[in-house]
Amino acid sequence: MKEHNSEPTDQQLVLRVQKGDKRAFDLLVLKYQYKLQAIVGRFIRDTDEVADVTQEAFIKAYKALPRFRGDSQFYTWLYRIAINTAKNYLVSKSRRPANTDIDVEDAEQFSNNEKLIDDTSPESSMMTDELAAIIKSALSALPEDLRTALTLREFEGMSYEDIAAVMNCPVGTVRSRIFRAREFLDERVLSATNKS
Amino acid sequence: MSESKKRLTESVSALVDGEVSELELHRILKELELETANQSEHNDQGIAGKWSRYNLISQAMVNTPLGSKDISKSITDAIAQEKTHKTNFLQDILQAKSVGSFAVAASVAVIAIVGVQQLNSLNPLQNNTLPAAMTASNSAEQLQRPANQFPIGFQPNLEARTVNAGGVIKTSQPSTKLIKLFTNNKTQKNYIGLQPNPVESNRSLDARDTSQDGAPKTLEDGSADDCKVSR
Repeated sequence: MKEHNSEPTDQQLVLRVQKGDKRAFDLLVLKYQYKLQAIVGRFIRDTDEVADVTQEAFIKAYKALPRFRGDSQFYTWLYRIAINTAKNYLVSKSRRPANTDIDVEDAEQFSNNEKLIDDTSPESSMMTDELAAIIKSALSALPEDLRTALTLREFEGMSYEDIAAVMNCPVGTVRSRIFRAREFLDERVLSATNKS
Repeated sequence: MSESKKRLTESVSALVDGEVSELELHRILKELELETANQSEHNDQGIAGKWSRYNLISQAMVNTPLGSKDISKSITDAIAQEKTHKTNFLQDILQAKSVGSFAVAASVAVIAIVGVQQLNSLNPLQNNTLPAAMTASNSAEQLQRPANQFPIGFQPNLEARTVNAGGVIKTSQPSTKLIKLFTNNKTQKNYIGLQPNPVESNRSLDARDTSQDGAPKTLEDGSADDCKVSR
């Protein structure tokens, strides 16, 4: 079975950017801005500074994108740029890097490591916890077929084809069920966001 | 939500999972461009909003640490000030390295197949192991080819048969050939008994030179000992 991997999408978008399509880079920004802020937030506590450094990291990534050959995953590459940018920012402000002993060279090894997850900023932690609670509640309210399709995709990392085989239905049905499940969760997240 | 909008949003969901075609991606990006042109802020129900939240939900479901501020607008504006990347022809080739590798592999395979076929067709040992009747007919055909270097206008009548010289036939040893040549005017008769040396078994009549009067003569490279010519 295929592992859950956003790399096909990233690769498609990166190729588009390299061929001159800036809109594709907008999608990469929308996709990774929250994740990258959380990473930068490990080094810098001030949220405004985090936003500035994250923006700088994205701009550096955009400029360097023609040299990106796809030897590593795009997010790993972006992640390293973000950490370097954050460290350089601290050096330029004559502040030592924040409470971390992870070398930049080793950073990609820790992309899914518990150590990073445990060391998130309070804002990041609150955002993640709140969102997780909303999603958990919404998931339990989902019809069985939609929930199964989405969880097989998100938690088991299965491809549409594999899910279709497991659920004994066409791939198009899987695609539609995952879409409907996401729409359901999206409505809940939106209403919660608007309330707050 | 209109049907077309619904289909497009479903494509956005599939894009989150990396399950869209290039055509679908093209449609999404086109819609995103229209959206960006028509409004300064991302609409909640627009492509950008859906894409952003679908990814956010996906990341939150697996407990990925997330920041809280939407800074996409400022980044997009900053990127808009940057120059657009353009790939040149060489970069396109390098990016299509998988296609290039396939093309190289396919070329090597084709060359290998053609090479083996050529090698098989040129292997003289194969002709020597053919049955006697086939060998005789092949010899006759070979004599009519330009490679035998008969003089212009010389068209010999050929009769050829294969005889066994030693009584013991070894497949690896070429059989002895007795070739009787008749010229057109029937006045000259040449009987040529060829006894090839096993070492020189690759030599046949192809390796022989002929004089202008049509009489075969041996080569001048010292191979005369390999062939006995009886007149």
